[in-house]
Parts: sequence; structure tokens; C-alpha cells
Amino acid sequence: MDEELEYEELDDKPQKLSSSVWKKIIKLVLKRKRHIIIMIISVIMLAALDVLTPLLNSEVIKVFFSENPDFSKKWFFIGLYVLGALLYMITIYLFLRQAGHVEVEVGYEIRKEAFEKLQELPFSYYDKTPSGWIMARLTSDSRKLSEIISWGMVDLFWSIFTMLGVLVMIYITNWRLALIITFITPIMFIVCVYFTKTILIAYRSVRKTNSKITGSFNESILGAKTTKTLCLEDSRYNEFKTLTHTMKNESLKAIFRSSLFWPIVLVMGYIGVALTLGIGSGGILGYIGGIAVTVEVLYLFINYTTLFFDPVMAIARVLSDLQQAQASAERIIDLIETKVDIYDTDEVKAIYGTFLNPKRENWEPLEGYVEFRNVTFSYTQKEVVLKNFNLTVKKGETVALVGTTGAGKSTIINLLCRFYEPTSGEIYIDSKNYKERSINHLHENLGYVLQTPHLFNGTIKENIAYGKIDASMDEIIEAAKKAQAHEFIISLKDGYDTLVGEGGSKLSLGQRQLISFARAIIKDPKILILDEATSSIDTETEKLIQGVMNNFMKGRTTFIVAHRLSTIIDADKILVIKDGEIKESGTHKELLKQEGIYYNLYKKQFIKEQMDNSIK
Amino acid sequence: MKKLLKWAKPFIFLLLVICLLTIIVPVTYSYVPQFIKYVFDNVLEQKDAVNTLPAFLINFFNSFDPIKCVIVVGISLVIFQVLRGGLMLLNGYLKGYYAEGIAQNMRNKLFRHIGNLSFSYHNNVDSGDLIQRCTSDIETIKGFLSNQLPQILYIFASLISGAIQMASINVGIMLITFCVIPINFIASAIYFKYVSRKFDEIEKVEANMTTCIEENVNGARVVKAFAREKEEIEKFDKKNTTYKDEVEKMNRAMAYFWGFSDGITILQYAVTIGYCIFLAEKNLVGVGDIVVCISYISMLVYPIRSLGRIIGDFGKSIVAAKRVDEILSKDDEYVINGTLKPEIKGNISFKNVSFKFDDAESELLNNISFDIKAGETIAIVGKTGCGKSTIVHILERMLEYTSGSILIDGVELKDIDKKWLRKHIGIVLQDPFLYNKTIMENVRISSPNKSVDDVYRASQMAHVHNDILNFDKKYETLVGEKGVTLSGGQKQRLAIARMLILNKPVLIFDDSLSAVDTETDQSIRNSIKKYSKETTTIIITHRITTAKEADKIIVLENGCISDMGTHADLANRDGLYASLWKIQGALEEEFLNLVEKEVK
Repeated sequence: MDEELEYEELDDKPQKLSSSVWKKIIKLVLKRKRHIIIMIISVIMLAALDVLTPLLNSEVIKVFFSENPDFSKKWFFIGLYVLGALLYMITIYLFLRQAGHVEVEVGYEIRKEAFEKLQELPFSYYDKTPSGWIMARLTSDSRKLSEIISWGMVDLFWSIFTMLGVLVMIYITNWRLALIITFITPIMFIVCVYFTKTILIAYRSVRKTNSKITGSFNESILGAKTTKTLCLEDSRYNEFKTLTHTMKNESLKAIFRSSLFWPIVLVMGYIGVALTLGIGSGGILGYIGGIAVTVEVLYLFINYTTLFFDPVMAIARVLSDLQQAQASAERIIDLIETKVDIYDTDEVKAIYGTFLNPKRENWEPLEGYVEFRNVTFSYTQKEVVLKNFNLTVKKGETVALVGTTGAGKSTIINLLCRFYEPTSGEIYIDSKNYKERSINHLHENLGYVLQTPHLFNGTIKENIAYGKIDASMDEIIEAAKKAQAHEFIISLKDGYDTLVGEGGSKLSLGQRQLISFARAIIKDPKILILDEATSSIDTETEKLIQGVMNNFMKGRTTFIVAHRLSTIIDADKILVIKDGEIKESGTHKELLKQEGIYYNLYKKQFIKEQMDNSIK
Repeated sequence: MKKLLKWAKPFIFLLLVICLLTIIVPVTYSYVPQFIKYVFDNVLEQKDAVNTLPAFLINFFNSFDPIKCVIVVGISLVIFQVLRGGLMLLNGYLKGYYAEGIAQNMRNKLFRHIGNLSFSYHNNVDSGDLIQRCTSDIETIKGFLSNQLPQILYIFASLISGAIQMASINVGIMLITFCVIPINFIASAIYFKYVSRKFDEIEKVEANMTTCIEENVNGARVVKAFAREKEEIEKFDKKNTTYKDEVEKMNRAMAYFWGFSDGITILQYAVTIGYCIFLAEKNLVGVGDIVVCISYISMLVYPIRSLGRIIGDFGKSIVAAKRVDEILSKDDEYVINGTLKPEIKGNISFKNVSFKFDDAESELLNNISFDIKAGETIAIVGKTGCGKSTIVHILERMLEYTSGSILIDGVELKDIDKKWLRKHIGIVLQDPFLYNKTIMENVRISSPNKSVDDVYRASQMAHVHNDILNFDKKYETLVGEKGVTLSGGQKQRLAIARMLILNKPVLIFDDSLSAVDTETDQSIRNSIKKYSKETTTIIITHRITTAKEADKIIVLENGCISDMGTHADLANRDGLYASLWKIQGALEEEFLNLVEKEVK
């Protein structure tokens, strides 16, 4: 199942409306004040037109269809109708236009705010938060919220004003007759709220079962071969049949409820109509004293009674939507208000600028001396990942970090990149605590090549230029040549303008890797971080990459999370990390002599590589 | 069209009832205003106006004095609406029953069929597309058959009934009304066509925007490490704006259409009422008539406006039906099957077996011949892509050999029932799939009546028992999509346990110990041997140390058997095996040499 869908499902049990969340949301939307005001005004106009039309109709009946019709006014009334039609046209156009506008603008604004916040948040946030969760906030939640703020508001305002208008009109015309509608409305409202709620609940369980069905289909497709080898076709099918059977029953339950809803509202409404008809006629015929009713008044009342169904149902619906959207609103506010725990101090910002307005002129060039001083780090309070870690790396040195998964290699990298900050202790770059420079400044001087290269949807050119925004075409080609990528790029039909696809999917893994090198090379960073790929790529690309790496590392302080023997051997310094501590350190030869952890790791890797090569 | 409608066929009777109800509900609505009209005309104005209510009802009403008559009419109206409400409920429920029935049939049929499709189909399938066909395409078809199809009938029914009723009042009024209907229809047809095109565009733009977010979130490391936050915001803002603008365009079209269409409708009210005034001047219509006419107009206009959309949906449903049909038209693998269910002991004999994929040019396997006696252990070695897995897939009849003969205990493989065969010849695939269930359920999935002890025993043999006990929920741990993530080795060992629980006479390991280390590999094989001496075992492996212990080793090169024999035979003969043995068997030694050299 789709990850995004999963997080949508988490979901939206109706919640009590909390005013504080909505206040914040309203604050967010108020940037579109003008449109919201026009929208509300046009909706009120629409309600007024809806209320006035039956009045006009009843006037027509009074003037032309009574005992003494007065046909002299016929053009006046026809004129009124035409005017009414024109007004309707304009109002409907206006409110649709504005509501649509508010919807897109609010959606735009929410996504923008959230996205900007996401850029500000440190990497640790992404580590802790599943990407599906974040995606759902920027997609389904922003959609839900913008819908409710635009169309929900339209429905709400229209309903309230129509009801108010109708009430005013009927009380002015005949308050006794008006009491009938007044009594029926609250009952109808309760019925509507009840039904909206139960229908929602029923459909929620339908949705859950439906996602189970999708999951089953998914399993049946992905696990088809295994299912065959285990002869499970029949038992899987029987399981699935039970599921579709449940689905049918649950759907029918939901359908029954929603099919019942409208007839009940209808009958209730017509009880009102019948009562109005009966009592009104009684008045006209003189059976019921004190109700002076005329035919046209009766017509008006019957019309108004039927006009009352829709707003009542609409309000019930909006209330339930609002309750559902509550969860979305909370999560979005949650995201936008997330505390940023790695940030530049105001003094640093004053010199180096913010990430939106960097003061590059004040950025001193870096040499590449790195020092960890008594660094201790823990992700959670319970578990210390790095203990009193000390490390000095000279300018231009290559450090290979070796160790099993979870030993703390990536923590060292994360700290160096200031994706995280030490819990205690300091990290110095060029003899200055790195917190005294801006995060952006550090990142600008960092070259980072990931284990699984991440490219962005766009052309190869754009992807290389990601390392240097104002790079010229010559620089891009130069970088591609250094990364040994130029040749394969020009062999592609569109050359540097080739689209790489989502996440680079149109290129092979090796090609992606080379481009991610070019992207780092063009940046000409002083500190280089290489997270070596564990997954096997073909030997040729591997050799190519090896060559590129060796060239690239010259003159830069380099940290490598190393897996391949060849990289490890050449490092100036090898650190064997275990349980957050440096267990062994030295050159390849020195470590082999010790016959310790490194010796065994190296042996294992050696055997594995040789074995893999033998059957290729 | 046929492909679409065939799904409604099993429910044809239900569909007829639904159609009938869909027609009855609006038709009976046309009587609702007649009750009110009756009161207005006959009681309040005391004239004998035309009324379409049945004569017996009119006579019945007429038999009361005015005030009682009003009460009776009022009660009748409510009763009438209750009855209509009942019909609506029935219609809604039946429609649901019909729709869900169709969906259930389609889902079951597709699921069953997909399960039975051949191994090669599943090898090449685009799973995302297939899922879409199983979910959204089914929804489209269901929606059309249950909503739009009756809706079309509803529209025609209300047009006809409205026309008749209006004509009974005044032909002129009817004609005026029917002049406007085509305008609304054409406008809606144009609008919905535009909308559906625009929707596709918007979807693309939205997908583009979503991709941008996705890449940003998943690539947060890169964005931060390259200090490109500002540029990312600018890039996203562009996509966000494009999306906004596109939706805005559609909103504009929507506002134009509904404004226009509603305006036309209201204009129509105006014209009808104006016309009524003229008629009233000539004393041709009464109050009741005008009330009724207005109700009719609204009854007609709304369905007409949806007609444009129905046409669009119709096109989509036909495409969806074709896509679903495409899957169902692929051959079920059990169409070709054997009938025999012989006792399988584990004697296997290949004679000149060749295999080639239908669309391939050359043979993948060429003249393969070998014999395995029951209880023997056979290893197949060879380089990547030489056809090792194909041999065992053929043995499982996942693939059908193109020529030659394979005998299982003397019976030709092609004559043996596929399921019978697979029940007796177990295989652990290279990349085994675990179901989204607990570990306990996964291990005993083929035989749910096995005891917990059996599960433990199998897991111990597969050396995965201790791993499982380390999970928080032990054997109740959920695996698969929504469960814990298992390592490759754990998956393989669970799959092995799943097979070992069954006591099959033949076991095949298709490189299925690749992710566990050499020692575990060894002890798993030992415990299998200890457990059953009669089991025939076929092991595909890259590890010569594993192959070495087999009774017979088959060396495969480019789809042909290049050599066969015991380790002692092969290690002394020049060839692939010997060279592999030289490299792999002496790795430890080589390593020590290397260290020696390096340290000095």
C-alpha cells in the first residue's frame, strides 16, 4: 500500500473542535483576506437571492392569479425575473470563482509555509519522521484543509444566511405559520447530524477493508511465485473471498445508512409541508381563526419549507467535515510549529546571514582541519552512541571509518555535517568551534557523496549544477570530465539535457553515482565525505568510481565510511569504530599487525570480495 | 462495450428492478406538486382544474368537505412521500447490492486469475499497473454500471414523464422548457470534456509537485549538505504556483459553466412564468399550473446537466473494462496440466532437456541430462546467469521444458499434476516472499494444523528460532509490509523453516542460503540431513564449500552441463569447478599470504 495513503488512514476520527488550532489556521489564511471577504459577500448574496425568489414568485401569484389580476404590471415582473436571472449568473460566477480561488490560495499558502519550515528543520527531524508522514501533511492534509476553508465556509455561510433569511421572511409574513418550520428544523438538524456521523463511521470501516483488499492484491502479485511454490493459491483465494465478502457487507451497511438518510429528511420536510398546507388552508377557508393566510402566502411557505432541507443538511455536513479536518489542521500546525533544535545563534546570523539571506561576503574560506574534542552523543536519553570521542584530522588527510552497522560511523559523519550537534564536547573546524560559524557556511564547504546517490528530477546539467548554482556550462563539463561522467553523458541522445527521471531512475546506479561525484566536484569542497556503497555495482563502474575518488580526495580532508578493501588500504588513517569508541586506529599495515578487530573485518571482507568475483 | 456490460450480466434481473425504481422515483415525484396543486385549485379556488393524480384519488378527495379534504390530502401527501421514501431506500440498497456484487465478482475473479497466471507472466509484470487495474479500474467500472447506467435511464424517464405532464397543462409551456434543455446539455457536454482533460493536466502538475516534495524529503541529506535550502524553496514555489494556476484555470471554467448554466435555468423559470402570466391573462392557466411547472423545470434541468459528465465517464469505463479484460484473457497456467498423482520418492532423471523462452532466440538450457537417486544430495554450480535456476523452475513446472524428457520416479513430468508436484517437491526461492502475517502463521502457512512444537522444530532446524525469540513479540511478530523488517538472512531462514515443516521428499535450495554465513549454512544443511536421510536435496550455490559435500555436483556453463561428478573427481579435473575451488577453497590461505606480504 501507498505510504501516503497509510498516513492518511491514521486518521481522522472526528474530534472535538479546538479553537486554538483553528485560530492559527485562520491566521494563516487571513493573508487572503480580500478574496475571503468577496467570497462571503457573494455567498450572502446568493442566500438572499434564494430567499427572495420564492417571494417574487408568490408576488406574481398574488398579482396575476388572484381574484382581481392586474396585468398592467406584467412587464415589470418579467423584467424582475430577467434581472434575477442576471444577478444569479453573476453571484454564482463570483462565489464559485472566489471559493475556488480561496481554496487554491490556502492550499498554496499551507504548502509553502510547511515546505519552508521543512527546509529550516535540521536533518535530525527527517531521521525521526517517516517521509510518508511528511508527504501526507503537504498533500492530503493541505488539500483537506483548503477544501474545508473554502467550500466548507461557502456551505456554512450560505446555509446560515439562507436559514436566517427564510426565518425573517416567514416571521414577517405570518409568525404563526412560521412556528411549524421553527419546530421542525431542530429535529431535522439532529437527524442530519446523527446520520452524517453514522454514515461517516460506516464508510471509514469500508475504507479500511478496502485498503486490506489492495494489500492482498499487492501480496498476491509480489508473492505470486512463492504462493505457487507453496501451492497456496486456493487458501489465499479463500482468504481473499472472505475479505471481499466482508467488504460487501460493510459497504451495504454504509449504503443502507446513506440511502435511509435522504428519504427521512424528505418525509420530515413533507410533514412540514403538509402541516403548512393544512393549517394554511384552514386559515384561508376560515376554519382556523387568527391565521390570516392567502393563497400566495401559503405558496411562499411551502416553498420556504422545502428550501429549508438543504441548509440543514449542509450545516450537519460541514460540522462533521470540520471535525474530521481538525486532525489535519493539528498536524499541519504541529509541523509548522516544530521547534528547530539545531540553529545558528543571533550573533552568528549577524555575521554569516540566514539560510534565506546568506552574507557570503563574510564567509571565510576553510582549510580543512577537523577536531573532535571529548564528543559524547546520544540520539535518545537512554543510549549513548558516542562516548568521549577524540579525533584530530589534518588538512588533506583521508580517514576511513570501519566497523559493523550501528557501531557509530554514521553518527560521526552526522555530527561532522552538523546534522546533529554533540550532546557534550565540541567539534572544531580550523580551530574554531563550528557552532560559531553558520550551518550554511559549513555545508557550502562540504562535499558529500552518498551511498545511494540521490538525484533530483530534472536534467543532468541541473543535477551537476546543484553543487554550484551559478556554474557555467564549461564548469559543468569540466566537473563531469573529472568525474569520468562526461563520456556516458554525451553518448546519451540529449547529452547534458537528458532528463534523469524521478530520483534519477532513468539512469543506472553507476551513472547516478558518477553524476553525484560530478555534483560534489563542481563544488570544490575543502571537506569531503564519502559514504561508500555496500551494494555491488558492476566491476567496471566500480573501478571507474575508485579512480574518480582517488583523484578527488587529493588535497581535501576526507572522511570515508569504507567497505571496499581498496579504499580502506589507501587511507592515511583507519579508525575501527565499535560501540561508539575508537577501538583501533592506524594505517592498514599497523592494524593488520595487531591482528585485532580490523584483522578479522578485513579477512571477512577479503573472502567475500574474492568469492563474489569468482562467479561473476 | 461488451466487455463492460458483461459484468452486469449476472445481475441482469436486479438491474431491471433498479432501472424500474430509478424511473418510478422521479416519475412519482411529478405527482407530489399535484397534491398541492389540487388543494390550491380545487379547494382554495374552487375550480375544476386539470390534475394528473389518478381519478380514484381525486374522487376520494372530492368526497370530503373542504377542510377535511385538506387534511386528507395532507396526510395522503405524507403517506405518498413515505412510500416514495421507501422506494428510494429500496433503490439505494438494491443499487448498492448490485454495485458491490459486481465489484466482489470482479475482485474475486481477478485475484483467482492473477494467482493462476504463469510464472513467466509474474516475472515480467509491472506490479504498479496491475494493482491499479485491480483497484481503480474496478471502481470505475462499478461506478459506471451502478450509477451512470441507471442515471441515463433516469434522465430519459424524467424527460418523457416531465414532457407528458407539462403537455397536459399546456403544450406551449412544455415547448419553451424543452427549448432550453439542449442548451444546457451542450454546455455540460463541452464543460465536462474540458474538465476531464484539464483534470489529467492538473494531475500531472500535481504529481510533479509531489515529486518535488518527495525528492526534497527523501534527499534531505543532500539538500542540507549542499546548502541548497533556499533554491529548494524557490524550486518548490515554482511548482506550487504552477499547480495553483492550473487549478485556478479549472475553477474559472467551473465558475463560467455553473454561472451560465444556472443563469440559463433561472432565465427559463422567468420565461415560463412570464409565459404563464400571458396565459393567465387569457385565463388559460391557474395558480396550480404555474407552481407545478416550476417544479418540473427543476426536475428536468439537474439530470440534464449531468449528462455531459456521464458521456465522459462512459469512455473511461470502457477503457477500464478493456484493461481488466486484458488480464483475464491471459492464460491460466493450469490450462496445461497433468493428471497423474504418483507417489514421489525422489528419483529424478533429466534426458536431453532443453528450454527456451517463447520470445527468446536461443536456448537457455541445452541437452541437459543427469540422474538423481532418492536420498541423494546434488549441488549445481555455475556462474551468474548460466541457467541454474531455470533447471529447478522446470522441475517445479513453473516453466515447461521445450524438448527432452524428465522422469520423476519413472513418471513423465508433464503428466504429473502441477499442484501435486509442488506439494512434494519443495523449493526455497532466491528472494523468498513472506506474507503480511505473524511469524507463526508464516511458518505454518501451508499447513495451518501443524502444532506450535512443529513450528519450533522447523525454525530450529532452519537456525532462525533464536532470532525469533529476540523479537519483542517472538513468534507473534508481524512480518511483511506493515511488520518488522527482517534481514535478508532471516527471511531466507524463515522461508526454509516454512518448507521444512512439511516433510517433502525433494527439497530445492535456489541459492537460498546466500545471505547467511558459511557456518550457519553448514549447520542448517547438517540438521536437514540428520532429520531425514531419504530426502533428495538439490542445492544451487555459489559456495564451493557447500557444493563440495554433495553426492554429485553438476557444473553448468552457458546452459550446458560442462562437467559432473563428486568433489574429488571435479577438483582434480581442469575446468570451471576446479578453478572455483582453487580460488574459493584457498581463500583463507591466500589471505594469510597477503597479510604476510603487507605487514612486511
